[in-house]
Amino acid sequence: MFRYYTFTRQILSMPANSVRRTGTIFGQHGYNCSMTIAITADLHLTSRAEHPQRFDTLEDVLDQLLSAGVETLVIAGDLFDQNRRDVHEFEDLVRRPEYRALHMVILPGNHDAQLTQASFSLANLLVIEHPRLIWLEEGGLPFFFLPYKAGESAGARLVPFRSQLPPDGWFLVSHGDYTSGPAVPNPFEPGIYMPLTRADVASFQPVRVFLGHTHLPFQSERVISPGSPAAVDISETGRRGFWLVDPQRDVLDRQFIQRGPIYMKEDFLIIPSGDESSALREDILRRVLSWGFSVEERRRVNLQAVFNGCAADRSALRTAVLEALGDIRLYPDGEPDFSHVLYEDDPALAAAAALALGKAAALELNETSAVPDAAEINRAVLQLIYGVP
Amino acid sequence: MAVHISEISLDGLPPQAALQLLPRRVNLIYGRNEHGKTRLVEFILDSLLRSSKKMTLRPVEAAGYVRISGLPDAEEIRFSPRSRQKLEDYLPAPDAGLPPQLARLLVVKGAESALQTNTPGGLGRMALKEYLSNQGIIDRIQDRVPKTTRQAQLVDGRISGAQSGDLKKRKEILDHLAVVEHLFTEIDAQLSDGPLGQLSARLAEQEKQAADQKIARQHYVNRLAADQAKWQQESETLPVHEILHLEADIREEMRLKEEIDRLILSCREKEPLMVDYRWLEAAMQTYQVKPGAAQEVPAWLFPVVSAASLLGTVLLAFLNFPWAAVVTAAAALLAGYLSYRSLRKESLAVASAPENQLIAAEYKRRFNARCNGITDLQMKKSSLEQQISLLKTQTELVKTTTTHRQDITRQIENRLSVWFPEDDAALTDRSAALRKLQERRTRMDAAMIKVEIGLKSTPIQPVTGGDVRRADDFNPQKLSDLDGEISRIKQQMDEINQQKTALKQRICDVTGESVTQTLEDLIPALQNYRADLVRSGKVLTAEIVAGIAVTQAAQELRAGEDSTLQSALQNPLIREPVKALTGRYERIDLNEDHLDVSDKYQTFRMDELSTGAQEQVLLGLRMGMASRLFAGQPLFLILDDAFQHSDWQRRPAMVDEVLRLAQSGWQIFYLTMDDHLRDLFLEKTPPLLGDDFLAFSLKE
Repeated sequence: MFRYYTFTRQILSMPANSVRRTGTIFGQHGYNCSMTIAITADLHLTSRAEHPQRFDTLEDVLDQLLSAGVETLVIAGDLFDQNRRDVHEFEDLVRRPEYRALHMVILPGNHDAQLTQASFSLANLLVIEHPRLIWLEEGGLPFFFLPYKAGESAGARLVPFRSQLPPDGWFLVSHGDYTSGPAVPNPFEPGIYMPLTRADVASFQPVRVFLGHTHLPFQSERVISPGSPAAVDISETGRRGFWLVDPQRDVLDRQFIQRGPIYMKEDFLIIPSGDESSALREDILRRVLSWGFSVEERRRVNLQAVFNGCAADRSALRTAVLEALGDIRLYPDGEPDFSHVLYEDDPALAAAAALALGKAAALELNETSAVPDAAEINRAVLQLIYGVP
Repeated sequence: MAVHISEISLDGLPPQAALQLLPRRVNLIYGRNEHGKTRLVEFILDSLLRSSKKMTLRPVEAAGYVRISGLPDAEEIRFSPRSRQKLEDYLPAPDAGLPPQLARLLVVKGAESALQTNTPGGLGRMALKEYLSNQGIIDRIQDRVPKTTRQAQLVDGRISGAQSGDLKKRKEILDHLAVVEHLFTEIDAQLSDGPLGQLSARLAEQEKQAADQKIARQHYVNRLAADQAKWQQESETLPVHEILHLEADIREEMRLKEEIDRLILSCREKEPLMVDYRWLEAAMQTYQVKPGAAQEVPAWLFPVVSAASLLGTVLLAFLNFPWAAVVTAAAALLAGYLSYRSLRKESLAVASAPENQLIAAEYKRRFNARCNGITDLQMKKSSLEQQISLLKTQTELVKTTTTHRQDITRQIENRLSVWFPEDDAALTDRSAALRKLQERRTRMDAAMIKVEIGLKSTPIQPVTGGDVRRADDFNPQKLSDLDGEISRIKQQMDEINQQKTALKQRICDVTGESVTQTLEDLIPALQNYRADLVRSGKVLTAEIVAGIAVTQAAQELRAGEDSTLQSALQNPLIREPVKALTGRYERIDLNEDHLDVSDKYQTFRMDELSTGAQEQVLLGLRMGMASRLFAGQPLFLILDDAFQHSDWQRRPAMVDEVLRLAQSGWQIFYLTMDDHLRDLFLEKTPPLLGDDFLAFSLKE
């Protein structure tokens, strides 16, 4: 067992009263509480030349922590894309005077499993080379850090430390898959890495689990994946963020990254009608609104828009799309791709389609698995009406 | 006001450089193949009608416009292929069914005549489906829905229907998906090494305790062995045979004592006999035989003679001398008698002596018997001699037995003094001492048996001189419990591992992967398989739901189409072009799925009419339907070599029919490459319409 706050006192010669770090964070929902620990993961830093965005994102996280008065950042694995790659660029960033007060706890992930304390020269970086229990804040719940190890499961790695885990609560920080997490395989991380199962969570009873590796942010019962703060590719859609934790009160708040592109993907189904362009415009506006993004965030969006269905007027569609999107950039070249849209101007078919779509909308599907969404059903309706595969 | 094409202007229709037409009532456009005739038709249709695309073969690239006059509430309007507005936009919305397809009504292609011969139900049914209603479109849409899906429905939000086709396939996918989901649930429960690890940790803990117990057991066994040696040594100082010997000696001592006592008593009882014996000896010395007169004959003579005579008798009898034998026998008897008389006489003489009488009296007193002579004394003496001899023997026996007993007593005392060196009481109370020794030996034996059992009950061998410090820690029950717990934990771990193996096998059965892979390696394959199943399941479900929706829509549209057609056929506006074309039929009725036509007197099924009559009725119906859409106004009719496939005898009549239509206000465009038809129009039109006829040849 290890008490980090005493460690920091000793190593960094910090005054004892500064150990109790507090910061006031105003979260998305106006939440106001004292947060002391920030948690992120999967930055996958390479070099600034190769992926400048990832460094910008880290800088944004650090700036947000500074402005919030949070002084400890936990990185739950895969700080680097490869072992010890371009560590100096990372250190150059962290070495800046404004960041020197920040303490970082770095958990090696599957991409940087060989990371050790010796990889860094800075004293405010703590690399978790072996599983250990650390009190990051006096009086708060401790964090048990479980660095990645190939070929083992999280449950098996926890077993030897069972007696060390305090019965009154602890947070688990690990890096690997959660078997009850997202059902869709992550194409960026094929395979299974140090899996944690629901049975493990039930068996060891951590208060929370912060799990790196799954780039998709999710919350499942007690398991929280902060997700990658900077999308490593366009498939990582949605706002990226990190978590703030109050270990004394087990209060969490999610913060969003304020720099860099936000990748979004939307499928639009164009239903042929006299006002198909207007309908598409309204659909786009509705979708954009549903993101809940600020104006500033919308400017950062790179939208992969997939258009399906049938239309009578291609040029009108393009105009409608570009008008509706406004500042939102279409990925990759700024132009809508209507290559999957069938051009058909038969009013009889359009009327048949409208009627069939109405019928489909009225059908309430109450199946339990493999349930298509309305867009998929509508697409199938149009395929039947227009006889296209 | 008639809805007519008032101008056609186009550019870029190869091989025509530019074309500017101001159409009249009848317009004959003549051109060879590949000179732009069909493209001209496509341009007109693409400019005017939305539904045109289904009839076009190639995209229209020419620029230009088509001007229409006579539209309600509008001046002349120019339409181009890029126009958003088309003629359909000037039509009222249909009450039911689908919007009418003007192109189907206003354009007649030559190829359509060829349909007649192969059309099931004749042109009447085809007219219903393709020209007079949108039944054909609905049929085509409906045909795209698989038959099984058409019969499916949603019951309580669930797809229900015959389990065949897509429904069966979907069920199979969902069943597979359920299996996969169950596998994932099991994976979530079993992939965790937590429980296994916890069991493993507990096993290690139990094994450590068991190992401690086994060390303690070794110490315990060592101590047992030491105890056994000690008891063995002690046993040698108090051997069982010694105790048995002692016990036998004590018993013998007791017996000897009893024997001696008994002999002494017996001797004491026999001591008076000794006195009698001594008296008898003296009496016999005193007792005198009376000295008689000198014997006349020696005393021995008569017995000898008697014996010799007896012997002679036997010999003579044997030698068969009976008389001699009788004589000797008599001599023997005589000699015997004489011998007896001699002895009696002598005895009576002795007894009558005084000493003898005293002796006889004393004899009587001592033995309570009459003494008749020395013989009685002798007999009595002989009789006492046995008793005296026994007494002597017993007296001797007492001496030897006493000696023997003293030896045994000595031995006993020697042994007891060894085992009870300080205890004098042990010498006196032999039984108590023996009991103590026996008890000691019993305790010793019990201890030895216990040790022996202890040693035999452990599977390990003692180590000579081995450590015994932790012997007291050994708890056989605890070790047994630990062994049991270890066995149970191992069994649970085996079960978990077996479950894992079985789970792997089931995953491999589903994914086709090799069972030699680890569970971690199999999961991505199962995830992909699940993703494929979900994707396929969604697609199939979407297709089925879409099929149900489309089927419902088609049923509704079909009903609407029937209703619209019924209503249209009742409209007098439709009858006029039919009557104009046929010159006979003035009423058309929809009867289930076929058309009936009637003249003033009779009703006929349309498919029973001649082909020519069917074509006339169909054309009239199409024009009537189109005209009805524009409030009965005549429109334009484009005939794209419509009579090309008609035989030459019927062509003049068909041209006449078209010209009759033109006379009724319809604008006719007839495009042809056929010189015969061109000539027929050129011959027949001017006399009827004068200048309201345009004949145009496309450039070569």
